[in-house]
Amino acid sequence: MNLDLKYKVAKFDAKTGRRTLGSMGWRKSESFLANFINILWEMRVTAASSIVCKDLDGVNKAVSDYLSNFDVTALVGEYIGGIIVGTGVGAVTLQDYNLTVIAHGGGAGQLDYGAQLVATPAFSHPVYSGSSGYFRFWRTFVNDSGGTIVVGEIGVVGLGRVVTTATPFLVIRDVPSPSVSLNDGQGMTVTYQVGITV
Amino acid sequence: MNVDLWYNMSLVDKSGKVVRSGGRKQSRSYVQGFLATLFSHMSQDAAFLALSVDGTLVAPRYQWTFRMYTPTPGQATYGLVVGTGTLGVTVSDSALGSQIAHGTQAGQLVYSPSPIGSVNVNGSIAYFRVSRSWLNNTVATISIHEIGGCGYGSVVGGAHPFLHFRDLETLHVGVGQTATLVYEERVSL
Repeated sequence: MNLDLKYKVAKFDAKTGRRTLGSMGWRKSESFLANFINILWEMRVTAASSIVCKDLDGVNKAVSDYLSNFDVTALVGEYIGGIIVGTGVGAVTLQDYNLTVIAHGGGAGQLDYGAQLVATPAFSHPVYSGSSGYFRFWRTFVNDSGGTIVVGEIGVVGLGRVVTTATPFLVIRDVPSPSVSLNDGQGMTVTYQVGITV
Repeated sequence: MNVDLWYNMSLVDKSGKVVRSGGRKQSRSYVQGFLATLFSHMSQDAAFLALSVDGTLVAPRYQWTFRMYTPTPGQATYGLVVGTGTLGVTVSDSALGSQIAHGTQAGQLVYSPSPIGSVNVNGSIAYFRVSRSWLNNTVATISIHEIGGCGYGSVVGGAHPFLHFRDLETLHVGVGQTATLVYEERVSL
């Protein structure tokens, strides 16, 4: 492969100073999705045309090249941007456009979504060593719901521009096996690594 | 599988007959300009700088930084490019070793437009292709030793192309012959 995508999930105890509870280690991501290659195409072609992608509701939207497509930043509590998590366990397909999303909050079945911004910080600059290079981005989720929550799927939502309106599109999806179980008071950090190797 | 990059380079004579087909090959690699551009878009880090083809450190954040499509013959700043450099590919490459210029003078090739085909989705595979050709309209054979693709970079204060991928490929283009290059970017499950 030429553009390599990996991810890992590390659990921690959110009640006692974030003591580490173990990591599943780096795993090969199952895939960038069709939305990713569509948006990449649009940016390769630029103003000459637009391309149809499915938004998070499954509605076809014509994406055009206009400032920073692939923006995966997200504010605290925002789950239509950045890394998101869900309860679905269906196999990944290229045409996937959303997860069965776990909403942000402290209610039953909800997780607290952290910010995913440069200032958080939640991105590391590209680093190059020998024949490879990579950058990473990550997001933290905390279970404050009072019960156990099982995360069955992980995705990344990037913004595409529909004319000049930022519109979220799912561009990456993974289904970790086994699923990640978070007890009340536990949290997890999901990290993605985008890399190249000559 | 994640994102794969493939290419196919061939040589066509004056009559349009293919006189050499290099076959489909996997690219050696995307290089730092692509990773930097992708990082800038994903992170929105306005302070992040990367090395452009012209050796300038700029922020590859804004629109058109992935652009390879060009409808203009002779536009050799971005899109697919060819050169004579022979040094091995490294992730830190920011330009071809020695790009062949557009023209009909000694050592130059005539750059065609660089079109991009539509996205094809076939089950678990989705891809598109970028292509370009180069006519040798000089009086001597020209040898291509390196190939690559540059994304046009529109940034604050100007435009700077970034090298996105590079490969070593040798093709001797005789007088009146045309070298054709097709790169394919694909995702597959």
